[in-house]
Formats: sequence, structure tokens, C-alpha cells
Amino acid sequence: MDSIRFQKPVTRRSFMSKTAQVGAALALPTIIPSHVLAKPGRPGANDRIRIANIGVGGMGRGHISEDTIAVCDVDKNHLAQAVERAKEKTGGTVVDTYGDYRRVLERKDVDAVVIATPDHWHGIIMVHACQAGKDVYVEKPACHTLEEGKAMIDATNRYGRVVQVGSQGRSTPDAHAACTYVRNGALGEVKKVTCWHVPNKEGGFEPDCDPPAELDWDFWLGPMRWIPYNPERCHFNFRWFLDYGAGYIRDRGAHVFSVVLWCMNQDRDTPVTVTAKGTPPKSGGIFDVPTELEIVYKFKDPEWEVVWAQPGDRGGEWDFGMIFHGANDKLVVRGGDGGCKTEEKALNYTPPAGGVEVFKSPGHKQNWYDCIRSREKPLMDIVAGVRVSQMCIIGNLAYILNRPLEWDPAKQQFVNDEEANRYIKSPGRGQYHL
Amino acid sequence: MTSTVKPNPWIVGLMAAVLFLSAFLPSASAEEDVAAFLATLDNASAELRYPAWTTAEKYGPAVIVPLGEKMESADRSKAQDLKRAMERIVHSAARPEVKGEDRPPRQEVADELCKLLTPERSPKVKNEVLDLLGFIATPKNLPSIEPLLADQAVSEEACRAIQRIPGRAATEVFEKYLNASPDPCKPRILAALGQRKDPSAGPAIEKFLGAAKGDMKLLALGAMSKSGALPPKQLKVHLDSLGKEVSPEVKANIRLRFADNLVAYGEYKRAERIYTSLAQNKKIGEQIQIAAKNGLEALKDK
Repeated sequence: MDSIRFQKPVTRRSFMSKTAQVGAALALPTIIPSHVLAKPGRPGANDRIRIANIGVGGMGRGHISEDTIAVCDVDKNHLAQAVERAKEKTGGTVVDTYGDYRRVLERKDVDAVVIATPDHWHGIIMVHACQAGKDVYVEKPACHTLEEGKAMIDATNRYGRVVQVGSQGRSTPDAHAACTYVRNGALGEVKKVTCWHVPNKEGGFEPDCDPPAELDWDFWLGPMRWIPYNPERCHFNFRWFLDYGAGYIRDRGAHVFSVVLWCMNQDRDTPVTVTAKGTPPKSGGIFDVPTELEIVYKFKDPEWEVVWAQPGDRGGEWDFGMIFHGANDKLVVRGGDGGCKTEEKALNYTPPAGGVEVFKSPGHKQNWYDCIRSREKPLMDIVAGVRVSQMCIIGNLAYILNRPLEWDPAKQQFVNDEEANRYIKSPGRGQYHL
Repeated sequence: MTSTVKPNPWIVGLMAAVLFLSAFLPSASAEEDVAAFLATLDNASAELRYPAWTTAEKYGPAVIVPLGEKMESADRSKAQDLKRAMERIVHSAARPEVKGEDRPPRQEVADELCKLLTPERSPKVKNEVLDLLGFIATPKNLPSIEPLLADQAVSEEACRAIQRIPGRAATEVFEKYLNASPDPCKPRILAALGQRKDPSAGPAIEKFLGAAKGDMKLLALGAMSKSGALPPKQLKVHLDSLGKEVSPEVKANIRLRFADNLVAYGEYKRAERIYTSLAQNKKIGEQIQIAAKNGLEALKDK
């Protein structure tokens, strides 16, 4: 961010702040609730929140809304598609396009950004966005390294930003029902949760080649080590490389773990010992995520465990999900992303008087919008998002290093494992770093 | 998608069995084991190579150099299996010691990797080796790695490798090359010094700052503030010299980080002055004022 050069125009927020207050004083005779008025850093209830979408490939394009005023991507084809999408959403407005997110963050009229880049860009862009005073919706999994996660939490708190992480499962009615059910003790004490997912993909081999003209490959790689372009590595397929998306445990595990931690009320960082075993891909293709994988997380303070297994014991026909094993009963939750389905007993459950009332989200994006106005923490705030990512990162690392790992949250280090500690942060590359 | 060679499943099974048994048969010498292992990795079929690279850790440092040599001429598919074999050896050697455990010696593996950094090796091989050294190299290996900081073909990867090596010695290498490396390499060395978060780098960066101009000065100030060092004596002069091209928010973020560093050094009064001036500055973004107020709030506990 040091290289970013800001302009100094009158900001939309300061303008809106002044006009809202003056207008209100002149026109409204009654006392107006404070949350309706715009303040610096707080749009009023009727203000439009102007959004820039950074990363507008497959998932990112879906985030484009009527509030989008700019789109950014390192692939010009993505940008062209995003412009069309924005036209549909805004009734024909042609939004501004950028290839460099830093130029987007310079714009004072952008209130908030939606980050839906490949995982290895989330942390850097998010921290820079907070420094530039933007509120953030960052796709899951929030961070790519453990150090990034800490920096993201620090930046959110330091600059007073509202950050929602895109594990939207928490905003579904079925996850809410499951959470209410588990937290009120309907299963008895829950000491174990098992998660299942179909195996990872095993790819073929495609030779390296020059990147297509529309793609800024160096920027796509960003903080990662430079390697030649390969069409099997880029865009959607980044998921199948340990260096980038690192398999379904990050892609869908970030949804599943989010629901697990929410139901167990365990978003905070606690000590955990992680063991992993997996099957490396046999095909000789360039994907390197294990095809099958089993990871066991044993938490302390309190003691409980999570098992992530690919394929694992399926709790139904769905490709992924989780089973809460209580002292008296168990509960199956299928899916955990935007699609989430739990059992009738949880859906029909009413908490007893004085029982735990769980916050019911109006929808994941709406919850973020509401919190931008109220300056409250969203449902899937950055602490929860980082905790989820931490599970994905440590699980994969235990597989890569082929040994158990013990995480000490107080020291933010692995216990007695110097090599594992070298994985805590990425050295970055060139100008691309935190 | 290019096709891969599909071997007979019986041959795959037989090769796996031979590799497995070769580790236990008393008649097979260590040299023969290694030769069989390397020959398997030469196979055109990925499935035949699979049992070799997935058990590479048992061959230890002795196969590091031959694997690197093979990488020179291997096609991409074979080269990635050779790298994966080396990775398994590195991770096995770098794991924490367990009493009585037979494991490849860590330093020996790192030293063998460094033998592949010689001038006759291609940048392709050196970059892969540097990537691995980032996880296993010790300060003893720095003399082999540091000259590559000035070699533009591999300096990026050398920088990443050294950055992962803990300790003052690695910081000193960056300090030395901050002046000695070609100009295009300097930004990444400054970034590395900032990312290491080693406050002892402060004086070296401050010295560099004295002669730096424009973007290089901005990068140096950023690196120094991120390193955790105390602010330079002429912080205001340096920031003012950046001119109006650099936004007040960028300058404010640098001052905020230096204020945090002052707190870490127990210089609360100086930190308070910076936080207060930023908290009262209405011309900069409200996020900076919030951050400064948070800094002042934290000082109340000191």
C-alpha cells in the first residue's frame, strides 16, 4: 500500500454526512434515530453503499449487484463479462473497469469492496482495503497463511472496518436451526463432529505455455513464487494446487467448518493438535492436492474434536456435510454453503424459555450491509473467518509435512517444529506483500 | 490435454513390490537401492514413478544431487515428480527430532541442496532448489545462497529462500545486498527487510534512506516502519520530501506503524504525540483517525 497515491477529492461520505445532517435539521421536526443519519464512516439507512468488486471471475461475477460502481480483474475477459453483468443489474450503467486493485482503493467514492479473487490474494487486498478506509466482504477462506489471518484481524480492528467473510452457510435457515439445536443442548454434550466430502480432483498434464494476451499472469500470481503459465493452474483450477486453493478442504471445508464452529460456539483461537493422512494424486497431472484425505483436529480448552474425511462417512446423498455427535443423539447437516439442509427435529425445535437465542441473519450480504450502517460486527466476522481458514491451513500443512502439528495460539506458533513455523507466513514476491 | 503413458497394472504392482523389497533385502546394497530408485523416476509412465517419489524420504541426502541433475533434462511431468521426491526428503529431514529415531540429517540435506546452486546449473533447477531451501536451510547455508541475490535470473527465489531463514544472519545478508545488489533488485530486498519484522534492521535501512529518493525512499520508509524499528531521526523531513504525490493516508500509515514501534520500545510519550496529531487531523481518512484513537486508547494501559 505504500506505493498507493491517493487523490484528495471531497468524499461521498463527508458530502452525504453534511447534506444528511443539514437536510434533516431543516426538514424533519421530530427526533431522528441516530442510526438513520450518515456519519463519517457510516452511511445512513437510505444511502446507497457504493461497491467495487475485485475479482470478477466465476464466483466474483455472482457478487455484482445494483450497488456496483467499479469492477477489477487481472483478466480482461472477466472484466468484459463483469461489465455486461453490471449493466443487467444496474439497468444499463457502464461501470468503471480496473486491472489493478490499488487504483480501485484510491477512489474516495467507493465505500466498500467485495473481494473474490483466488485465495492467495485475499489477505493483501483486504488489509490494503482496510487501510484505505473501505468496508470489506471477502470470499472464504479468508486467509492463505496464518500470518495473513492475524494481519486481517488487526487491520479490521485498527481501522474500525466492517468485514464479512463469505462463508454464507451461517445465514441459511437450516444452519440457524442446527445452531439453535446444538447450542441449547438438544444432543447432550457434543465432543465430536465428523465432516465428509467427496475426494479432490485429479487432473491431467498440460504443458506450460505463454499466458493469453488478456491475462496479466504476473499479477495473477501476485505474492506466490513465479512459475510459468499453465491453463490447468489458472482461474477455477487454482483449487487443485496446495500452493493456491489447496483442495476441497479450503473450498468447501471453509463452509463446513464455519457451521461447525458456529454451532459449537468456538470461533476463538484455541490450542489444537492436528494429524493428517492423505493419498497423493497418482496420475502424474499437475494438480497436487491429495485425492483422499483424513484430518483429525483435537482442541483443548474445551476438549473436543473435528474429523474431516474425504470421502468419509456420508450423512446422506449430498457431496459434503457434517454430523454432530452428542452424548444423547446426533444431528446431520448436509452442505453448509448457500445450500444447507438439516434434520426435521432441528427445524421443528423451539428453545426453552431462557434458552440460547441465536442471531438470525437476514441474508449474508444483507447482514453485511446492515452492519456497514450500524458499525456492528457481522455474523461471519473476520475472527470467525480466520479461525476457519486456520483449520484448513493447519490441516493441509500436517498433510504436506506428514506429521502431527500442535498450534499454540498464545505464541501464534507451532510447538517444537521450526519447519512448520516457516510456513506461518509467505515471503511474498516483489511488490506483492502485506 | 496431452495423453499420459498407460502402463500395465501388473507392471505397476511389480515395480512397487521391487522398490518396497529393495529396502529390506540384505543382498541389495545401498548403491543398488539408490540406482533402482533413480531408474524408476526415469520412467516415462507417471504411475510407475509414483511408488518411487512417494517413498523418497528413505533415500535421504544421497539422492538430492542426482535428483537435481535429472531435473535439468527432464520434461515438465518428470521434473515435477523429481521435485516432489526432493520435497519429501526435505520435509522428512526438517521434522523435529525424536529420540532414537532414524532420520536423514537436516543440515546434510540442506548442504546437498546447496551443491545444486553452482553456476553450471540452470536457473530452472536453481529456482526449484531455492524454493526447497526456504524450508530447510540454516544460517550455515547463507554463503551459498546470498550471491544469487545479485543474479537477476534467480534473485527473486533467493530472496524468498533467505527470508524464510530465521535469525540475525539472514537479516544481515539483506542489509549487505541492499546496497550491493542491482537497482531492480532493491525493492524486493527492502520488502524482505520489512517482512522479516526484525527491528535490528533499522539502522541499515535508515542509512539507505539518507540517499534514497522518490519511490525508493517511500519503500524504505515503509520497510523500516514494518520492521518494527524506531523512526528515523528526520521522519518528518523524509515524509515531507515525498511531496504531494504521495497521499496523506500513505504517510499517515507509516507514522502509525512507527508509533506502534515506539510503544513496543516503551517510548510512550513520543508515540502519544504521533497518535494525537493523527487523531486530530481532519484532513485525512476517518480510518486513520480511528486507528490513532485506538493507539491512544491502548496507551492508557501503559
